[in-house]
Amino acid sequence: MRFGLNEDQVLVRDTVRRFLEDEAPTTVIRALHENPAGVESNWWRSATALGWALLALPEAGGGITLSGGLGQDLAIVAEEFGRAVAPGAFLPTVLALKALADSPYAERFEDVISAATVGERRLAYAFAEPGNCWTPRNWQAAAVPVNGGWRLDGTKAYVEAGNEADVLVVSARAPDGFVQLLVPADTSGVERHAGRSLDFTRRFATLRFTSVELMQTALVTPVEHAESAIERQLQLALLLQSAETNGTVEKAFELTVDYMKQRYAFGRPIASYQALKHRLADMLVRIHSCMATTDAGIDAFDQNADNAHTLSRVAKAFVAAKAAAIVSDLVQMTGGIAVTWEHDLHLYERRVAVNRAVFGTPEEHRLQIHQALRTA
Amino acid sequence: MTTQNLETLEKFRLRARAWAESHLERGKFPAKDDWPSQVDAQRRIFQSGFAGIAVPRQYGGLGLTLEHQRVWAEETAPFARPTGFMVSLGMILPTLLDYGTETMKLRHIPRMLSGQEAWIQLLSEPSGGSDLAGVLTRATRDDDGFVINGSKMWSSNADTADYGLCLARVDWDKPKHQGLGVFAVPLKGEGVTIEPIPPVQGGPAHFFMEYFDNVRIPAAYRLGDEGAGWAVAQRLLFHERNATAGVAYGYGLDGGGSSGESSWRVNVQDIARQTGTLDDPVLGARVADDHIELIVGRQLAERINAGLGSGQLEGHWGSLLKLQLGIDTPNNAELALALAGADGVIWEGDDDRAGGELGLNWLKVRGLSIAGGSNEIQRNIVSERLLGLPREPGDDRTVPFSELMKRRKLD
Repeated sequence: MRFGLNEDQVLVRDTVRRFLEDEAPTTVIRALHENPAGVESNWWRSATALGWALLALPEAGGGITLSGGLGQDLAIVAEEFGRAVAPGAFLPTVLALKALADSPYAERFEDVISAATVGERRLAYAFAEPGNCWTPRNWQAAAVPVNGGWRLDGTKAYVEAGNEADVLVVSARAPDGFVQLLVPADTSGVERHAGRSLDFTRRFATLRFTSVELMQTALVTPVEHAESAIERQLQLALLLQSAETNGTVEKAFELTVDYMKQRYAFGRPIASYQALKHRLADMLVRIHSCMATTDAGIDAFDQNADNAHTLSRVAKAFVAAKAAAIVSDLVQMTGGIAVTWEHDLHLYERRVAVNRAVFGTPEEHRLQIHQALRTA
Repeated sequence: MTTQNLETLEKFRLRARAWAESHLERGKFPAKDDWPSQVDAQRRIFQSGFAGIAVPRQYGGLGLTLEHQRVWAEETAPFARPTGFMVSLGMILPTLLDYGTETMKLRHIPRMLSGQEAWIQLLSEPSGGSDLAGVLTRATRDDDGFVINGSKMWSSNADTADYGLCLARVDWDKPKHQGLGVFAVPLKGEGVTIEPIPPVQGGPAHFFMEYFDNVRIPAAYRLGDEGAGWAVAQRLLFHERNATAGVAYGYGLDGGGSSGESSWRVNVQDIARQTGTLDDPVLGARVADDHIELIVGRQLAERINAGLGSGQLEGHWGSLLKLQLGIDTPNNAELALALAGADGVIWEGDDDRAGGELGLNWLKVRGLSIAGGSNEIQRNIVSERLLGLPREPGDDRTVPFSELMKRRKLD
């Protein structure tokens, strides 16, 4: 969490935190593990009714801004979802809304946008492809203009809430570039294969599109906008995901430090042993570093700065790697009980591990940074 | 003075910018060699009314705020600043403000601000540094003052200093932390011998040893009340951490942490390009990691500075930044060795310091993670002060120090 939040931002943070503490305690998260969708529709409607989805929209399009920075405002909510390891497709909803709101044809999508912002219709954001393919230039799924509309073929993978969503925003190759299309989930030729993840409540699907016929009005992002629009969405994805991860790590750290103050071994609290508390000190350096790099990336995103591309990758490369290492070491310090089903720490490990992979591993992003240094 | 009467930050910024443009040289002073030029620069800053920005007017300062000093630091960043006064102005001066007697403050703070006097810290001793409260230097009462006997080491800039703040033991029968005093000791007078400590990388000394032989101090040159020595020393260390992190009174004094970038960091990207190792998948990935750490280190410093500046963070957060530098910088030095290979450590000719800059840097880099409170001491501070974790138990805080000394002899 950044320092210097304004009053509105603090109000939103506190409201979301209180809602999630009351409505999504870990007992609820555990129960949702058994739920095929990972979330209850009613729960999602009341969570969305808090209004956070409006933060993803420009004021001119009916949205709300707290600070003038869309990324900054959404990161506050992302961090709270992370702290609670909350259910619900926060990130896909935001990314799909962002794509729709930034569309030159945004007025066509007013109905779906307003239904999504109150949780009445659920959105998914189909981006990656099988084989860990998070890089647009390697995508195979293709949209071809036919008869004044589009025909979509191919497979999108790791689509969060892809099986539960009513509407899909699908990125695909097109002649001379990329496009993004709005695809109602019940369109003929759309095959959905539900899947699970390490996370208790996050469901991911593989989507197969076979000669899916769409009207011209399905076009969300035309070729001439797609490269920059998709890059902006990816930056936002990496940064909000990092903010969410930061919340998860912070909460796991707080729980573990509290436990270590109360747990006694050899006659004193284990938190008094330098062998352990020195590691906690190193972690605090890392946790604040993770927050610092996320916030700096978000500021660059909100200003549409030249370095937003680099800083969003730096954030992902740093945060995702450190987060997994930190939570894993928290388990080590908690001891055997943290390697049981009953202890909550694995809920946080699960979220961090999935976030580590989705939108590319830290290693992939480090490789991109390495390539950029080679050509600099 | 009420805050309404203070010059606004924006007005001050414009004034500082204009003055710096026309009165300071661009670049940096070449470290210690240029001490007379630094003294001259500090004198000019004082005469133009920009020294002691957050220092009360009665002591020769401007009576503004640390936020104004931060603005000054931002505006003068491209210019050569007399950072040789970092210890005097960033560490000693605020400690004097907190604990100095009125006599000391009125006499010495204006001299520090004008560059007439340079002050240093006299803390570590040959017998120990991390266990600072275990000092063996004696301050013995004598009529209306104290007599100092003992030795100190690792003092920076002792060769050019006029005074030092010296932690010494007054009462040997009180527990370790309770029998201490902090004294302002003149270094150019009788009874003081100063010797350089040759550094591991060779070349000129930056640290010194001082021997005190019956040095007399007036009573007014003790900081704080009877028995308050440890609290004074803690406060001095607090200001030291802020100064080395480049925050608070350290704004503009070029503490490593102000940019989140240690001045000892090597540009490993250049080395990787020169040696062709940037294209190596393993070494190249390490260079990318170094690049990420550098960027994130700066972002961390900005975050912590913002938190301290807005008052949302209080206390020992400089330790967090120092720990980050103390972890990152040795990693960077080792990567430079990995990239340079034999050419980093072997060179032609018979000058033992002509080549091998990277190797020499690697030799000295641990100074950064030890000096000013080692990484381990910073980890204690972060875990105990920022996270509220309990101390390791021990009776060294409760038994008389003379008792601890007897154990030392038994070991």
